[in-house]
Amino acid sequence: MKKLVLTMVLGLFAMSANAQSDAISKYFEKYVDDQSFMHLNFSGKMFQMIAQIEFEDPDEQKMVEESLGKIKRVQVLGKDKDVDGRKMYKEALGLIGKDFEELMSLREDDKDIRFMIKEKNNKIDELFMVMGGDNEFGLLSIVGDGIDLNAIYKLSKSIGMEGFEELEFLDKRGGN
Amino acid sequence: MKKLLILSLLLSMTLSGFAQSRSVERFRQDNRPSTTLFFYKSTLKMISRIDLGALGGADVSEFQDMPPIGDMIKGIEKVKFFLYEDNDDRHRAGKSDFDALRANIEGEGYESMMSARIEGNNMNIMMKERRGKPQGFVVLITMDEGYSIIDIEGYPDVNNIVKFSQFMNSNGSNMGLQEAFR
Repeated sequence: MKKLVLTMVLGLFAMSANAQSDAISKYFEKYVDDQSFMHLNFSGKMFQMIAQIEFEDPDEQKMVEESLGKIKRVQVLGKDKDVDGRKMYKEALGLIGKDFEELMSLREDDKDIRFMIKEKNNKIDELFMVMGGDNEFGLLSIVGDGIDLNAIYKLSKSIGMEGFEELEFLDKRGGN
Repeated sequence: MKKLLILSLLLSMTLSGFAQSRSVERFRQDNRPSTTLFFYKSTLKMISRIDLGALGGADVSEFQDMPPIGDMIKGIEKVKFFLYEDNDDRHRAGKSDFDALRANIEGEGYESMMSARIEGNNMNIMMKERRGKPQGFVVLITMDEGYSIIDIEGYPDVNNIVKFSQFMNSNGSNMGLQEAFR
């Protein structure tokens, strides 16, 4: 009986740890459930499929195959009307501040953008981006086991995905 | 809504599998759709030659640079499409029925690959795998006016999905996911 209870407790703990392993699920769940927010969720399976893309450059091919397989989940959460983006931007940074380390911040037009990372054993477990403007707010979370930011930047460029232009400096630097 | 349906169909046709969902078939038998479409190999070839602009609701110029649809649907064996309109008396399917359908599809072993909620509309792409290879795809769409189900049997070509994605992004103002829901 004790074994069963212990197994159930450990199982529940593992499930809850898994369910709250990314910043959006952990701190911004109320907005995920808010129908007025746009929410996109991509599972790791999606990226395993994308990793089959053929690139002309073999090095690029290898990098994408290796890096995309490590992505477990990508989430985007945002709102572009009837929102005090600046207030939410501050709130978001306040919530996640302790867990993440700042990678880069910039001010573009009328909005602030901050890229943050969570590392474990010198590997990036999560890339988190917060964006806030006068009337817009957005969050991006990429969770994986050793995320290669440079590979993500190159992939986004290759398939024309917007939002990662600011990571160009990694490409010039030659990696994370 | 027309744009969303066209884009969903095209996107779905680029996905593949070797099986179709039993839950979707049961659901269709229990709930008569407002619109039912079956696409077989031959009909898919015909679709690849259709002038999308002529379907209405969109500017013809939007589709000029779209990758050949024939390339995207190459290898697709069969696609089922069911539309359930809210104002249709022929069925009584509502939100709870579609929630139950989703649970049943997941019970068959399908996993969500991608979900999107934009302006209250929802899309969920689910995939079933066997030994690491795709077996089937189901796309569930919830819109203001009703629900859609797309069930696909075929073969994947990720490179063609990428070409389509590049096209979607290059036409961001009119053909993006957000605009498609409008």
